[in-house]
Amino acid sequence: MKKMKAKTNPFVKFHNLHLGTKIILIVFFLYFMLQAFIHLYPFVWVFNNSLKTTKEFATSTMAITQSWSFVNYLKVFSDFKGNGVVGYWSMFMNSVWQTMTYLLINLGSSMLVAYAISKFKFPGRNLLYGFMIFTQTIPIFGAGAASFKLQYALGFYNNPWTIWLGWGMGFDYSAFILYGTFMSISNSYAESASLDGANEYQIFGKVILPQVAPVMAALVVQNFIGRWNNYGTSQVYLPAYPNLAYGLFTFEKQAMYTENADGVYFAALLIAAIPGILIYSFSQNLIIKNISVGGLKG
Amino acid sequence: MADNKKKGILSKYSVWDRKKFSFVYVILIYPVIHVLLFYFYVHIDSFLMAFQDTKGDWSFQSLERVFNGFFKGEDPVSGINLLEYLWKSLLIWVNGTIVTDVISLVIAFMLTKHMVGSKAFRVVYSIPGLVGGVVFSRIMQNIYAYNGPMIALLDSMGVELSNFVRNDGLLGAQETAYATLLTQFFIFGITGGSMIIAGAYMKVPEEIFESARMDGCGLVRECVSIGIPCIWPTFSTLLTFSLCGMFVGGADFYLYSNGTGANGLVSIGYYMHRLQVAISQNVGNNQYLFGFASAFGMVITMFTIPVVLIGKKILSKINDVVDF
Repeated sequence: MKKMKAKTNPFVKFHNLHLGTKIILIVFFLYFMLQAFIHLYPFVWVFNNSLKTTKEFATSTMAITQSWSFVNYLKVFSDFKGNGVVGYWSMFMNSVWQTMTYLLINLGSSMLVAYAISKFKFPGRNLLYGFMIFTQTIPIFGAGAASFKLQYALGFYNNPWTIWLGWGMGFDYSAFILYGTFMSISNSYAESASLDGANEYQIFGKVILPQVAPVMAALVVQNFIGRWNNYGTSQVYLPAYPNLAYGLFTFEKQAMYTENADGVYFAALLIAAIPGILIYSFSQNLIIKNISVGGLKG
Repeated sequence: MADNKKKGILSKYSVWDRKKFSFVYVILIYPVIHVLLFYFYVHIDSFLMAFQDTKGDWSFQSLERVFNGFFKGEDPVSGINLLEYLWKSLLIWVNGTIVTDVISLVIAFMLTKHMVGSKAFRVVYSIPGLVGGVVFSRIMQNIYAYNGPMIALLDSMGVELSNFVRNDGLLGAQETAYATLLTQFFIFGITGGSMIIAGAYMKVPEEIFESARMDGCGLVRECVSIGIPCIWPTFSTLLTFSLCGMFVGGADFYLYSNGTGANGLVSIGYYMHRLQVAISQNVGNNQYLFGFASAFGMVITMFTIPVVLIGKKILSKINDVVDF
């Protein structure tokens, strides 16, 4: 017999609830709506003002725009200068290469560390595992000065060709997540592949890696958002190659000698925000299903 | 035959297998070299620099400067009492962890288990985290500006505002800047924390809650006796990570004050970033800052590590892990 699962009408379900529960649900719904308004209003306000002329903005920041100057969004790419020198498109491309390079180096490094520690027993394995746990639980501050001193001495400062060498910290949060994922993959897969004549590189690339693809994708999205919005690295190590975040931070509205400077500035802010929002919107479930912060006992 | 099979299994993962041995060490070359150089060498160098003066000779000069910065208001960058930075950071941590994270436990439960439109709410609440600190801080600076909607709202509510606020906005006046941001962190912190905890609630099977409801369990009991224990490992891990930032909160103040710390927008997190920027922007002329920054970080670390270890111990005893 087929099992029939009745579709529950949420309003019917609500109607059948106890009065006290109904009141609680209504209160919480109103709270969530208020929070949604508080979260969305700043962006709506900025969008509205991004379409204004300077005169409109000076007259009132609350009134709805009359001029609908969408041309402000085009002016972002021609008139906006972060750090006073670098154009918006250049900063956008700096954000792209800095983010992509970081993802490749950092996640690649984390993946290799997690795979090695989870699947192999070799001299030093326990030490590396302990170190991975140590970095996640014991905070150490103040190494920024020493880190800068080292990277400056190595010639990484303001050097896009070598700066990425310092980004491959493989014993981080991503390695921690991937360690758990690799541990959940049965060793039988590797054994079967080995019996079929595959070497370790083939086992890793063709058998194991596809199985962690969802988790890797979730980590890519999570790290992309974090790195895209990171301004500290650009500010401290690559000031001559500002990314969008750093460029927006240093920008002075008054310094932009262009028509509709305020509107163009707000348009620049919104354009910088789009990649993160878009990527997360399409991969929200991917992140929630594949990344969880487990408990650390002991 | 059993021995051969056992030998076959062991030979695949035996440390003495040369092919695996070489494979493992090949893939670990870069991460290990990186961690040796950029973690161990850097931290050891940082520790040593804390005990060196501007000429590189051994001295307690840097540690003395940190002490003077906290108790005599003589730090070399801002010249004010670093204790003010510390208590403001602690207040931010209390606001962010003790208050908002605890509230987030309930909010996340209602959002994931009982609310119509929860998916849409989750996307909206995630937006501030997605756009990044710089974009969000710049947007909120304009919201709090003298001609922004917050001043208009306060005016419409009949709130009396000082001339400083009317001229420079809520972040431009000493009496309102810190309180404004603390309130903002509270409001947005509840939803931000809820998003992280919501992921944990979504992994709890719905059948557990349905069974409880069939047994007559009410909403409050469902949350307190079932939901929270089920996600306790996640929440306690989040609290542990939060303890790591107990003394260094408020780094966002750097953004909201444009790096100046004006109008009382200061914290340890802000100060550490400002030190880092000062070192970077004055390359070659900032030798004294290296030692001071290292000593400052070392002092903060010395206080943070015991707090984290004790906190972890306490959290592990508060609630048992629930299997489901």
